[in-house]
Amino acid sequence: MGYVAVKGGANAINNSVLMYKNRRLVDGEDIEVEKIKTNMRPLINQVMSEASFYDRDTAAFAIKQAEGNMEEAVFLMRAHRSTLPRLYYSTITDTREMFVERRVSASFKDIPGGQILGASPDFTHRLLDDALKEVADGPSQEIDYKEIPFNYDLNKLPKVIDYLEKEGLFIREPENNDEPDDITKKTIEFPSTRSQRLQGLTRGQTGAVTSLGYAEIRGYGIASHPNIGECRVGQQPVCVDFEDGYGEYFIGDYEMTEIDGFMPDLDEDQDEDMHIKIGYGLVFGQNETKAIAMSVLDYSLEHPKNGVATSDDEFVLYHIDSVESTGFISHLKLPHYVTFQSKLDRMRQGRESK
Amino acid sequence: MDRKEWSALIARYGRQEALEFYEKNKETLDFDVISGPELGLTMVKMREHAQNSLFYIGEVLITETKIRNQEDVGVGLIKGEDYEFSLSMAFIDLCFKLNEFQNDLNVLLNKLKETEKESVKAHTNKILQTKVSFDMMND
Repeated sequence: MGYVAVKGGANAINNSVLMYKNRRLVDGEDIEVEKIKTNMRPLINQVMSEASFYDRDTAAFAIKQAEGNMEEAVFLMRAHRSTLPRLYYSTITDTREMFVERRVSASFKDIPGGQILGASPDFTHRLLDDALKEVADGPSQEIDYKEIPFNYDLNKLPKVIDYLEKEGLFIREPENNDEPDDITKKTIEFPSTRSQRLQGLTRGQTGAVTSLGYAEIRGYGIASHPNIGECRVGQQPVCVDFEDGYGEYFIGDYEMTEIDGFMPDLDEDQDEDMHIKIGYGLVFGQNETKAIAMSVLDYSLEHPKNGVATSDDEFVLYHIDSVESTGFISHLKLPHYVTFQSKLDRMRQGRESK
Repeated sequence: MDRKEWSALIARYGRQEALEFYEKNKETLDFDVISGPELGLTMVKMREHAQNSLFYIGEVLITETKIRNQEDVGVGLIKGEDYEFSLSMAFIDLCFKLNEFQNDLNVLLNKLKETEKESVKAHTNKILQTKVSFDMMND
């Protein structure tokens, strides 16, 4: 049987696209991109992180076009990103310079600078709030602001690991300034490098990273409960250097979430002093669950165990990318007439030969 | 004040002032626009703290403009999409390189430094309202 080219369906396809584009306007009002930007911050954070492309306006725009569909919004962001030139690489950016807006430790009560809760849903009741059915003009209740003495600058807040280092419980590795690999320029080869793993994890699909991180600690990998040494969320300054002799140039502050996860020491030698080991998570925007899961997977990939899927870099990194996984799964519903017919032909021939 | 400091001050607190500075002085300085304002990306290189190595977290959207006066090039980089601001920043960068309008720029930057001081103080105090006081919990 040869291939037979067919055509048709153009009208149906055009109408399908039109129906899709018009659907959100049929039963209600259009919504401004600005409203998405201000009302759906966590969704924007997830889209930017999974797209590996930080711009709140573009993310809000993509969410509107995708009707709130995460995978579509991430796809739109990645596609848009591919139309833009990469003009610069930033100088080395360190979260020690982050303007901290939230910083908690689940491991130590008393940390230098204290526990700063910031804005978080952690302590809210998960009950639907009827008041939100109405459009509010402003906050229903204001904070009663008081002067609070504080001996630190929020953009120079010490890290918890600095405190542990002073006690000899954490050994700081010497600075490694090797240029990182870039998985958007060169496909990952296995075994992967550390920079490839961290880049793959930070742009992974939030749900996939979280699920695999959960599996890792629930019983398939380190099978142990890590402690979050530090969770910090804040505004991270980013600079570039044109190397024109005039020094660095500031471009902007970008919200990020960083996790230092204290992990069980899998290389533990009973004869040596024990030290705290870290699994590291860092993502665009405020997305603590993903950053924690990233820290778990970072540690499991750095300390692989035989037969454990979540410590297999190929298994983890090839399956957590939103565009790749949703794209492949989703394409299965598109016409495969020829390939399926050839399968049927083989089955029929097999039956006849019996 | 080095370039990192003045560019941060203006980017964070001085958009309107930068646009006004450009409008006021653009006719008195010869320059050609080499490129932009146009959108582009900057890949952000991070230091991680588990092993102190480097990795890329992702790209950020920027608007870039380049202008020239003979051999000197002024560059304006701004977070997100903001063509006017990017052009104004390129003009200010060129002014610093040519030592032009230094008094005006110093006045502008000193004013923005005050704005920064007040803004950081207010923002810090706002954040600190959520700082846990364990002493109070024991009362």
